[in-house]
Amino acid sequence: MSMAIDKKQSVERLKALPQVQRWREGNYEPGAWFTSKPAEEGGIWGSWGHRFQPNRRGVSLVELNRADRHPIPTEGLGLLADREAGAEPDAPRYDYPLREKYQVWSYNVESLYEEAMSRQWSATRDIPWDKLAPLPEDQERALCQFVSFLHTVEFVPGDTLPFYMARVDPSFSEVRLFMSSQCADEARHMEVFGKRMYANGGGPGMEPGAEALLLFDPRKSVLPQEIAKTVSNVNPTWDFLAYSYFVQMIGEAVVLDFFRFGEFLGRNPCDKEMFRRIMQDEARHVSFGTMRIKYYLDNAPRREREEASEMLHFLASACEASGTGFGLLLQPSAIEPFALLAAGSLGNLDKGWDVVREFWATAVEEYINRCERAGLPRRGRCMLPEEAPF
Amino acid sequence: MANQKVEFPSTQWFQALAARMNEQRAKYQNFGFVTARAVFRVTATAAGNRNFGLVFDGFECLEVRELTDGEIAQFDPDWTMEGDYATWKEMVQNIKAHGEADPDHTLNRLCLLGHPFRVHGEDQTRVDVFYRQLFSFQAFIDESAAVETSFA
Repeated sequence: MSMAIDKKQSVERLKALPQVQRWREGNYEPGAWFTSKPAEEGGIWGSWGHRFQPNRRGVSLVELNRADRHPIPTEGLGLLADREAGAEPDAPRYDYPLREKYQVWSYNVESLYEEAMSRQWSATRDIPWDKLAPLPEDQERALCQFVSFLHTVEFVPGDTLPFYMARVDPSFSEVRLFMSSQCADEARHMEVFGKRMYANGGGPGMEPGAEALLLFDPRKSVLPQEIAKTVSNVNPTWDFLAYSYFVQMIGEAVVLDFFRFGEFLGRNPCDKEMFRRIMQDEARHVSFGTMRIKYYLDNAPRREREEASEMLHFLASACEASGTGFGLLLQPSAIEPFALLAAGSLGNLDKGWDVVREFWATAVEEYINRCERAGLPRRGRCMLPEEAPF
Repeated sequence: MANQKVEFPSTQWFQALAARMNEQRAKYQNFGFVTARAVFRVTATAAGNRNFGLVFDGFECLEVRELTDGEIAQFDPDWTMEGDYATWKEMVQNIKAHGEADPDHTLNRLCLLGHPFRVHGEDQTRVDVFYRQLFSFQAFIDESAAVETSFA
């Protein structure tokens, strides 16, 4: 391909730019960024006079925001800039679909982000791989299938979070930062599961179908087809709120329970520490989703709040009834290896299944508790059986 | 001091763990900061139920104090980890024997099914702090490997 412009023309064009002409004429007087007053005084500089004393942890967003005399705006500016930045009148503004604070904020987003940064780890360096001990072949096979399943699960948020992140107004940078940290977490989980599969004499197991269960698949629903179809059309992509319920509050809550169970089942320091590290990350994601739903339901305009609450209850009933999220606990390729690991050997499978049954009851109770905290009371309405259906 | 036996359960025992945590900032910094108000509850001891309220902030344990049952709510814990004396004793002895909890005696292992230990609280998102910062709490309890412990 040939360019329609040569180098000489390119140089001439650059020289013709007004600011370049000014500099070429020796006029180096700084522009509005230097001369303008802060917005509070009627200028177009952002804001001025901020000071912050580092605390024990350094400079944390929690204290930084607390010390700021300007509250976080309820509506984003549509600028690709800090929320207190100034702008020329003709600065480009963008119509971000998620531009209201109540649509994106979470009560604990600043502290969760700081915690996420503080607790980053390396799948290469921080797992005691040298302490991985050989397992009996049936146990290694079960563990490999279990981590193959979890490896697949990680694709769901990893593939979908950036879609929403790019739609959040940059005025709420804390939300974008947290979502970025979650993307990094999911990538690291995928990495560590991938490494574990190959590390101890086994290898990747079977594709487990986990992604479809998390994203709602009417083919695997126990709902009547007409209802399943309706719910399927209420797709998680239509609204960030529904997404937080689908993925962060129910999906990742179940996955958090899986990770806790992974630690429970681990027989050597390597597997134990791997799941302990991952569990910490996942618990942050669940906490963000839970407190984001609460913020929405506490702060949305009244009518929207009522409609959102109704929609979330509908989604919750549909998810619970159809096995979205908790369906992961009914997925043979995940739960059977789970039971075998809990049993310790094929000869003790019944004992392994007893542990899985207990685990189901714990997971359901914690899910209901989180719904309660989010302002979405499901106790008495939850369609999930309190006891395992097997 | 290091060679003196400290009785479990007692404020002094948890203070010994806190002292070890506080003198190893680099180790705990590597795990990430901890922000939690925790209650460790030991039931069925010879003296009845014993509660110890601990305040963690940054990379340190700032406060350890014994609480009566009636004082727990005012302490406002994020989570309470509760188990009977026999299980606590077994865990502490196991940590001493192995230098850290073996696979059957990690906090998560003991708590997951609600027995023999149970983690609970008023607010599930605050209970989830236990899972979010578990690496640090496990390391904290594992410090008992270096504490000469006697049992009441």
